[in-house]
Amino acid sequence: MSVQKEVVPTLVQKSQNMAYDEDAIFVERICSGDRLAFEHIYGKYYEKVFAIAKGVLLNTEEAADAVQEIFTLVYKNISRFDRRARFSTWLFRISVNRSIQEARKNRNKYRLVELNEALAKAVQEGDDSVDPKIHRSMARLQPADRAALVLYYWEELSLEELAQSLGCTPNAAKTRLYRARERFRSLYEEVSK
Amino acid sequence: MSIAPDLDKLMWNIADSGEIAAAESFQKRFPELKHELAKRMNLVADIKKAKALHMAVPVRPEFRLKQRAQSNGFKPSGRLVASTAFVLGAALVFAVSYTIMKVRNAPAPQQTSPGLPSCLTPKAPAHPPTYNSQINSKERLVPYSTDTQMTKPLPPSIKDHASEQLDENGNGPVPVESTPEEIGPKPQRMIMKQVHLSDALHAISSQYGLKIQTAPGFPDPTIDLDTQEKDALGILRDIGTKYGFGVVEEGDKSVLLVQQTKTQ
Repeated sequence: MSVQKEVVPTLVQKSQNMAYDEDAIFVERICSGDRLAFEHIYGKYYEKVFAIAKGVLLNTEEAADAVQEIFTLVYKNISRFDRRARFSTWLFRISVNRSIQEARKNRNKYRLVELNEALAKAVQEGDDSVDPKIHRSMARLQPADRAALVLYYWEELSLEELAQSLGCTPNAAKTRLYRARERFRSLYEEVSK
Repeated sequence: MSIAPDLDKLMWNIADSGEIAAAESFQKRFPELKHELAKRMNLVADIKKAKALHMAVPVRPEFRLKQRAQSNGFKPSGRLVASTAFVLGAALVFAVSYTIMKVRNAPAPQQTSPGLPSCLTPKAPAHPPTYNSQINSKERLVPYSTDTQMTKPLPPSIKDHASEQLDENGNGPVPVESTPEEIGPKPQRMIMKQVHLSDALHAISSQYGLKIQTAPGFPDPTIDLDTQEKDALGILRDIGTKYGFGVVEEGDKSVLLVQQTKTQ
């Protein structure tokens, strides 16, 4: 019985780490110059990276551009990747940092234009559940706060993963998430008045 | 209404988890915060829903490597910057030291050695040489020794004039000794044939710069003249002997021709 107890957790752990192992294999292949392996990683993570970029930048074209830059960074720096970490969190960290940089660069642009267009489109399509105040509040948030909310609520990362993606400890990630939520609530109430 | 931070965090955690049982339990314990909890639960639900609005993912384009230099581009390390600064600093110090040494070791102005003859001692003019000072000054007449070079060559026009002043040994012109005053220039030969005496005298007067005076009624025969390189007085005396007049010097480059009277 005692042997069975030890074997079962090991198998569970292995199956949980399958994704990690698969990415690790592809990373090794990329490092050895396999272009197809990189195409695979690009296809696998494109939507997630785009979601992060779009959530932070709130602009489709800028997000698409940012995604290309993010994958370029990954391609050029893949040899620096620490194999002990998960590839996806490393990728998300680059995505968040790059998107925040871009958002700060384009700070002066008025994001609500595109948001209003998106809302108008949603209303035309009969999606009454979308609250316009949510989008306006999101647009007013700082890019770093948006990044925390996007990763946690949209990408559904755990606090541990959020911490790795933001490059901080889990406790710091928790605090950042809490503050981001509070600022969001405050803005939401401001918009609602 | 102020909410304690720990309760606020608890409400957010319940809203994030979405567990109905946990929410009901909280509302029973803190009925005054029922509305706040509901607000947070609605906000979380709206944030999650908002993803759908943003996630109209465009068609995935083919990956293209961006060429623009990004944050992973070349960044000089601190060590590289420090070593570059050190090398530049060292080069600057060397350049300054070298310049100072060169200035200090520059040859002092040459002083006159007591043993040297004065003609070999270059004398630097007090003022920069000009055309006139080069040609006319006494220093110019003193030959420069070969090891003393003019730092700046003379312009061609000055050179030409200067070379005229040099003799075959390269020395400057020697002042011409003053000679006893003589009438007219150097003797030279004059040949004239079948000319009037008055024309011949006029030519001699012009050639030698003489003032020749004759008395009224002075004869004017046609003469032939070959002076054989004599001076003006010699020529006039020769002609006078031949055609019967005497030459009286009056000084100041003036002569008087006096017709000789025939004596029986």
